[in-house]
Amino acid sequence: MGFTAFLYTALRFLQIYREIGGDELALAFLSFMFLSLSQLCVLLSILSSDIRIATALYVATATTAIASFTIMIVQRHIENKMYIMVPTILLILVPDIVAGLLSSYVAIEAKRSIRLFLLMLSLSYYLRALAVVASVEFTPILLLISESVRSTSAVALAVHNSLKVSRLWAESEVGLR
Amino acid sequence: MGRKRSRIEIVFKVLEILIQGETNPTKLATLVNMPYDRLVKLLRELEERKIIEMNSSRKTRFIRITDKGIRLYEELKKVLDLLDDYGLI
Repeated sequence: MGFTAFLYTALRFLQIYREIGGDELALAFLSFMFLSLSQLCVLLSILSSDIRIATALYVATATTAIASFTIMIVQRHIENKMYIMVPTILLILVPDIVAGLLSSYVAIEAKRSIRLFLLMLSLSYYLRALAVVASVEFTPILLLISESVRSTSAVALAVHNSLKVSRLWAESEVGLR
Repeated sequence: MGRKRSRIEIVFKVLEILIQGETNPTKLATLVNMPYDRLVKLLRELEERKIIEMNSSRKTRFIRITDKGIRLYEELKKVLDLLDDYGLI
């Protein structure tokens, strides 16, 4: 019901947009299409018997709703062509950015070399998020840099932690004797 | 300073005036409250899409709304109402 209602509204916007143009109608069409997709995802997530597909659709429900409401908010508050900022706003909503912000926060409170390694890890998340909105030709190089930074920091953290744990373990072994 | 009118609001205003009867571009520009050159450009677009007709047989050009234009006016009224409900216009 919700799906068809939003889809119908979106198509009406598209129909009039094709007649007279107008950015507002194009944006309204997009936001209602995303709302309609969101409703479809809800429906399919309930109907799906496969747990993985159901979970993916459940997540897609919120994601498409976020896209729809973001377009609406931008359309409501920005009168000129500033809606080209939409990709930047969506960037903030990318889980990688959330992971980056959280790891940055953890890094600030961390000490010595751990702070550096965590900041490297944060940087890798930011680069991954940037790859999402960057133009196609930059995506592979950004992902490559991101993966290099991530793996380097992960190995550094792993080595540091292992050495620390093994040293502590060795010290405790000595202490026990 | 008032909010800048969107394209669909201007088109709606043009159609709203024309639905009351035919008029000439100069008078229409005054009624719609927009520069003459910009209005003529818009009117040409609407004419190409057969939403309005421009009668050039007389000395003064007269513009009238077509049946397609009347249908579009009714559609636009509903759409603008909906956009207004969502606070999008």
